[in-house]
Amino acid sequence: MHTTIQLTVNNTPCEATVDTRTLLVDFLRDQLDLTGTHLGCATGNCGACTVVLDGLTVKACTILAADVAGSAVTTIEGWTQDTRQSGDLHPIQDAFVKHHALQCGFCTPGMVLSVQQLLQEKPHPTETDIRHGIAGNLCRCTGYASIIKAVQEIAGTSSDEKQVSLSPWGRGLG
Amino acid sequence: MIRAPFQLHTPPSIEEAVRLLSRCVQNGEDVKLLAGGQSLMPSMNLGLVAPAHIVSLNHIAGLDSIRQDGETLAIGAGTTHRALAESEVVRAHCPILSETAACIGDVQVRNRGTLGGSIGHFDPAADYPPVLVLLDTAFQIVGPSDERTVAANDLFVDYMTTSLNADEVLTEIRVPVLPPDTGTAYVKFTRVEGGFAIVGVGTCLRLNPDRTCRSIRVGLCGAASVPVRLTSIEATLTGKAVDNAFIEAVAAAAYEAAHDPVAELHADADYKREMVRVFTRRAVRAALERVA
Repeated sequence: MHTTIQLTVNNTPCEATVDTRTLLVDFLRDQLDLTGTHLGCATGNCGACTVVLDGLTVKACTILAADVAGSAVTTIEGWTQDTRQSGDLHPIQDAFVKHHALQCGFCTPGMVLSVQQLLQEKPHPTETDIRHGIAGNLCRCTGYASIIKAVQEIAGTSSDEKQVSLSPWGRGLG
Repeated sequence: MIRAPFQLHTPPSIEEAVRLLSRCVQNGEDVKLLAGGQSLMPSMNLGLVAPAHIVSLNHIAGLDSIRQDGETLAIGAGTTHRALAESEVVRAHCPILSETAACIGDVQVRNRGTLGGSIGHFDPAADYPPVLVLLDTAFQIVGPSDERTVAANDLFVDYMTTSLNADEVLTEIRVPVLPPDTGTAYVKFTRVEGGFAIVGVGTCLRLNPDRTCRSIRVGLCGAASVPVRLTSIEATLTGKAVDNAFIEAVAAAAYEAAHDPVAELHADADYKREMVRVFTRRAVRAALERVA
């Protein structure tokens, strides 16, 4: 069974015909070629497929593409749209690089989107807040310590006079 | 991509959803309701279930409302764990439900998963059932010919089995507004954050002015294949001084009630039973600290 859906992906309206069995993660990767969203476990555990659906992070392997017609999806590609054009890294990306918060990088797109949501809701998270905030994203390389350091640096930076815009389409360090 | 083909239905109303369910049931075709999909989708991805029809409840307006109706909170079955955890009215009037919602899964799961979906799926290690049982929750259920209200004790029948019929939809749960002096706590034992509860204990405690027990209610998950409410202590401990002996009496009753826990990979039955005792102590202490 196929169905035609309309939704907004990375601020761009799109229309596509999908098999109803298509998971949102497969739709993004295979039909839209947005391969920054990774498919890890397909059981909602690892968080590698994390995307932002109508403003909230979700695991795209637990959602049918045909069931989110009309919604707005932001993937890691859309999240960095503006900073990519300007050539700058987003503060979260900067901090991840500086603190070696990734090795193989498989979890990173999902991890970054979870960190983004955490910082939107809690600009100054404690270490416990950070651990809760990324609990849905498994990383098998870093042991998490470097990721937590990266987030702590961003949170610290944003508390002084240098205001960091943490919106997905922010301009980075002001 | 899910391997087994199925038809996806996205009805705009409960009536239409029920009509679709009835049709599938009458035709002898396997049908599943889809809410947040946090259990159903992984199960389908793994090929553990392969229904011929999926009826999505995600296109029905108003299924996620939370309202106070006198001495009752009426919560739509489509309310996400996140919405429940953050709801001002729930936090003010039934904080144990917010606390429970906030410890389910992880951020992404709470953003998408729903109260009704968790109840309908009824994993015996889920966090809501023990709390709903101790709150005397009423479940509003819509079927093809009528609407009915079911009490929590009658909803959870056995391991992953509720008394919901295949052609019915859970639309709303109703919990009482708790008196403001109630101390409540839900504590949970898991191997890692986000895991299902090995043991979960919910407690509501009220004290008399002389600090004796005015009322106590305790609900357990992990103690059996269905949530257990410690009804035996509700009368016997009322009026008693709330001291260490009181807490031990509650913990002992929980241990007795947990005579048949479901063994799992990380916790055999004896260990789980012991943990029921330990976490019941912690839940009662936490509730006591929060008594206004």
